[in-house]
Amino acid sequence: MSDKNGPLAAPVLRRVDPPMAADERTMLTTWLDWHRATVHAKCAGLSPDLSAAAPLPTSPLMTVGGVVCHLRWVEAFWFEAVMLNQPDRAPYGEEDPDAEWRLGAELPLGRLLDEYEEQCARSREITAKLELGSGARRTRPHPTLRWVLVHMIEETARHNGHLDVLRELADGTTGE
Amino acid sequence: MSDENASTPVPGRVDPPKSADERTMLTTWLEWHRATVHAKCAGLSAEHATATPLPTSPLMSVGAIVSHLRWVEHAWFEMVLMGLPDQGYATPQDPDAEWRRGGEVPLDRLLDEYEDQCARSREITAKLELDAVAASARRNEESTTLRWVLVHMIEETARHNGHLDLLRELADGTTGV
Repeated sequence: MSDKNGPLAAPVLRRVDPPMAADERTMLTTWLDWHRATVHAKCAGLSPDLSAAAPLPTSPLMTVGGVVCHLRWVEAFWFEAVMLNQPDRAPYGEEDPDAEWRLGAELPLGRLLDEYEEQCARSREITAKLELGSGARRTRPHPTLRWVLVHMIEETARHNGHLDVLRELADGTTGE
Repeated sequence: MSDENASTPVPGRVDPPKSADERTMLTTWLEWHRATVHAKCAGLSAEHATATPLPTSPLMSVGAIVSHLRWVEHAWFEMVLMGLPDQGYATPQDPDAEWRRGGEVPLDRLLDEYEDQCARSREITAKLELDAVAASARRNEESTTLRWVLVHMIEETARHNGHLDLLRELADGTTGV
């Protein structure tokens, strides 16, 4: 658990490079896990007061904490709400479509990362039980697990691009 | 949630089908991100294309990213998968040459070169099986497969689109896409 008065300890999550030769399931799941681990890596050592820093004048909700909170709920949406048609537990709604971004700027980063990791663990369990060609139980949208995995890779990667810039603007830290 | 809707329509960009075989899923997502690079640059002034707003990364501009992505396509498809010679600008003495060039060449030209390079990548992709092994080994003892290259290109292009999201917004406030 992070010390709320100091920077986050180095992540205990190990990031494993995807194998260069592998079957489809292995390739997709290892790349997705690589990007999930990268989210943690991009946050490691960030001073807690910078988690809510919003350096873009035109996007006051674009913060490191906001990105992490958003990614947690993206995982919940596609794996739980869509693939399994479970009730959508997310904080956003018609009254506040950006609620998770707001929460992300309010909650401690350590807690956000813990919740993200727990959500990813649920995503992994769901992934393991379904065929890649399995259709979602929810009818709209109605992707296959294959679509969800590729989408999660590209969305998590794109948000890691946001984290690259946000982190560098915060304290100059760079790196993959 | 915005994720459940189809993406913002962009001319020439096609949303990947929700149900498809592996090859279709990977190639359509990669095309989606290649098209997004162009969309993120549309209407950007020449001055903003070379702007470097991060004090700690003086080479990081929109043009530099487009130049870099062109050479990433060349490296993985032509050099690694096909074993063709390295035609890039980067050298051991000047590893950042492709980034710097992006600050010196007009954005339209960089985007044309990127599109030409992507066309070559598509030809190579169409000729190979997903399990096809690279003509030249580039890392350790392993040989890269087309499958790895496609997934890597999706994630790298997507991550750079994340950079473009923020660079574009810092330049002129344009968001979306």
